[in-house]
Amino acid sequence: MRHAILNTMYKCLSIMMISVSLFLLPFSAGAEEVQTEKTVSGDIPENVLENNSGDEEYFGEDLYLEDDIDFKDLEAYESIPDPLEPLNRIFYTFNDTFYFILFKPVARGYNAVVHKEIRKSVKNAFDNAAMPVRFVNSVIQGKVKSAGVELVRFLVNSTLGLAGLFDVSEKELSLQTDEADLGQTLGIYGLGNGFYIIWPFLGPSSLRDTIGLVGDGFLYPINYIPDREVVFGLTACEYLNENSLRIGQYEDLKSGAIDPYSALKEAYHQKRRDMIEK
Amino acid sequence: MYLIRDKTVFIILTLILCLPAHGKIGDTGATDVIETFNSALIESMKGADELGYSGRYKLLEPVMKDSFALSFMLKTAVGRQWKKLEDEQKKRLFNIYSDWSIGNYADRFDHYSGERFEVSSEEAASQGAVTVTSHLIKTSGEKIDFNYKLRSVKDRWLIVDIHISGVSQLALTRSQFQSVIKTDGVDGLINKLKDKLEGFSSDKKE
Repeated sequence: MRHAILNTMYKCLSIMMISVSLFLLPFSAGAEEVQTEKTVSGDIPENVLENNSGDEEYFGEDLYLEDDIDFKDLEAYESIPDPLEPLNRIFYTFNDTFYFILFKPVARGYNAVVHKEIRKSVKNAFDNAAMPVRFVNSVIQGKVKSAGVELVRFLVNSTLGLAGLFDVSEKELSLQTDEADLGQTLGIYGLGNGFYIIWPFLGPSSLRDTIGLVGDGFLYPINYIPDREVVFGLTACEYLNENSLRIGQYEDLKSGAIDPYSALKEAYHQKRRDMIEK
Repeated sequence: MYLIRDKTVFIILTLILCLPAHGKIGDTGATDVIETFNSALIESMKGADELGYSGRYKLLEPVMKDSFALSFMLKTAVGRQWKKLEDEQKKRLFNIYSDWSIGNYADRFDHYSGERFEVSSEEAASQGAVTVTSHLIKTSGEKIDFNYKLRSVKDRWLIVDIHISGVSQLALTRSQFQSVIKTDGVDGLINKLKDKLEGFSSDKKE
């Protein structure tokens, strides 16, 4: 009986942690380059900024009559298709409520008890364990250098870094890891997003990235531990720890948004596109 | 013989001087615009408590109006609907959009913990645009990418988009505007922007 209850608790907790982590995925830092060709094209008409002096009405009315944007160029800003929007909005509200009512208080408690440096070390160890995901995807993507860096990092951090708890590679050798996952790999090989999906608990995704998430699961060594309780426990620990380091990022996005659902969708889409194009 | 060599050297030097200097910081003036804006953000952060939301807004307003192509960004965000709007709607929308854009920065850059900005490169992009790559560097050493896109208007460089950690802020705005216009119309969008702006000024710990 006790065993069954424990198992259920682990499962629930891990699902919750996974969901919140993915919910916050687009806000994680790390993208290094910008999409240089995707901004806007066509010069700004000269009269637009003539009186740009700070007065309340510093733009003359003639500005509004200008036909100065080639609206075909706006296609570069087209968002991810969202045919499931009504359902997605329901799941968004559900996840938002879950985050503020349950996850955030739990994460705050965790933060109060566990020092930030310890949480960073725990994150390092899980990142180190996930090396096969990044290595295999780097190889498939043809990023030989990134794959090599992953191998060296793994060897150094697993030994000198005490099972990955300390990122000696970055600190001493300036070897930084690159994000690489199967959704990204599929995107690089030309597979489109499909459409936008918000999974309850799991957060924002796309059809392509959902397939990628499942595929990456087969490359994650922790999933091969025979004892399922241990797997669920470690997964729960990983996601609680990971997201405890990101508290406030979702709030930042939401605070300036007039439609947080659309802002989150676009942030996810932009982040993934940036990862594929860089 | 010497004459030929001198001529060769002269031609080579001339060619070098005439080559476009991609990647050299500050060679177009676009970097100056970004450094001015970044300095204003840091100043706003440093004096956050003293200035309060309204003080930060006043500090950023002239800099942003001089640095951003706000009307161009608004039209890009509204998209094809723009042409269908009445002049009066366009004017109201522009005014509230400007206030909201400035308010957003005044609201978000509200504390200082030793951060600094660093411009790392300026590169030519397509169709005469320029990309200025900069980073917000925290005291922990963590870097957040702030990459700016600028276009030239009458010998002035103006920001048309900022990519923060790879996410285009203009795309975020556009996605939200399109969604709100679709459900609530332009007047609904204006009202939502007003509400958000009022939230900025009332939420703050002044």
